[in-house]
Amino acid sequence: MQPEFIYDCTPRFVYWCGLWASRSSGKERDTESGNDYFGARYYASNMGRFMSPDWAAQAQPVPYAKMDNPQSLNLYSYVLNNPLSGVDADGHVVDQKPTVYVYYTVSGADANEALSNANNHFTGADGGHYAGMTTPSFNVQWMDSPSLTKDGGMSTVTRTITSDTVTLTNTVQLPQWTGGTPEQQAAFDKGVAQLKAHEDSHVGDNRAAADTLDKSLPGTKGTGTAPTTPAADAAAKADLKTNVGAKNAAAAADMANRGAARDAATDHGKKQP
Amino acid sequence: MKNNFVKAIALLSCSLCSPMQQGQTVAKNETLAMYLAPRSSTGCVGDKGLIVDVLIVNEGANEQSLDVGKYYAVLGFSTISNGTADDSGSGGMSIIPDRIGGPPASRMVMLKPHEAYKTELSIPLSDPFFGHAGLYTAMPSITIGSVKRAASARQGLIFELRACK
Repeated sequence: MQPEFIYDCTPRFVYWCGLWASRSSGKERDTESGNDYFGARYYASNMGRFMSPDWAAQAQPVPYAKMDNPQSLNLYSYVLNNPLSGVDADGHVVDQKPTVYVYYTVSGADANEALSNANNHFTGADGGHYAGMTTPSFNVQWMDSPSLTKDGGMSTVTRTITSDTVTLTNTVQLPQWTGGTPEQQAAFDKGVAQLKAHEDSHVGDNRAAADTLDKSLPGTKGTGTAPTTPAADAAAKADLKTNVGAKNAAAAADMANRGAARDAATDHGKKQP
Repeated sequence: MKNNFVKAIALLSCSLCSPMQQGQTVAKNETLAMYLAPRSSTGCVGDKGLIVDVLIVNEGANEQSLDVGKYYAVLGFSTISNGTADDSGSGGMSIIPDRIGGPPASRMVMLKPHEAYKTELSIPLSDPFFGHAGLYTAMPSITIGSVKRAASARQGLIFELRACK
């Protein structure tokens, strides 16, 4: 099975990647692997051309790519407007945003009553009442490298993630209370400080889960086979999204399990683990 | 009869699950098994939540005690597809609640063989994460007494949110 042409994009240094027809000589093939993946031909944005003049002279765009509109390639789905902002040099860095602390106000005649009221502020999924809440959310940006083979009348496109960025945001909701004596205020604040420290431990757990996700993404593949290359590519994109989605789901489950385990081990921070 | 009813609910719930999950117990502690049975697989964007019935079934031959006062659930969510999925990819989130102070009071129930204890899980949908119509997966990590169910991406509860208005 010989590839008819190649396309590749560069994740680190360029704005555009191209979808180019290869020469039939096979000189550009990765003869080591014998597969259909060819080495990168970087397009230097500051030069305005591909860095390999030989390639540039021979290149031909494939039918469905608009070379004057690199966004049409859809290879940088998440960084189209500012590609470099989404570049993750090594593919293993979680972009953790600063924790967002949201304070809600509780009433109470004294610290104990205020803390008791705080404990009734949230209703959990289990119907229980809670005082604090940590809500991690994450999103994934990735860059992938496509490759194509043709066998008979069928095209097979494989898209492989080359780098990714996982963006993680943790929102922590905590109670606040004012109006007591300094001693009462100190008692309340002590309870909240303990809760905050516990929520921060959830934040650390969530970061660990996001790190695991981040490291698992490079190499993730999506494959599609169809009579036409565009159709095969669309199928490959869909398959890749499905596979990333499965890893996202595993990460979300990981966060939930880590949270539950820590709460069970520490009684929500009251005990040392 | 009651056992058949429970099995029917478990199978019903699995119309929303992957084939791997169908008919399977999701958590077990000796002879106590936990089943999840979503009451609905669809909702509207803006809904407060979806209710899932949680069943603890004594599948053994002896009576079992269960501390139902100790019920704690942490949720994980994942996007399968929504209106922004093509451009932003699928993401995820979790909801981890905490209390100040000691654990809730124990409340023991006794389950005879084939008896089930039923409670609810409410999947909150108020977070902006659910602001788009599409398919989502909820992955609860649940503890009731000594019965624990870890969140699992493979056994998540799939539900659809529609733009009803």
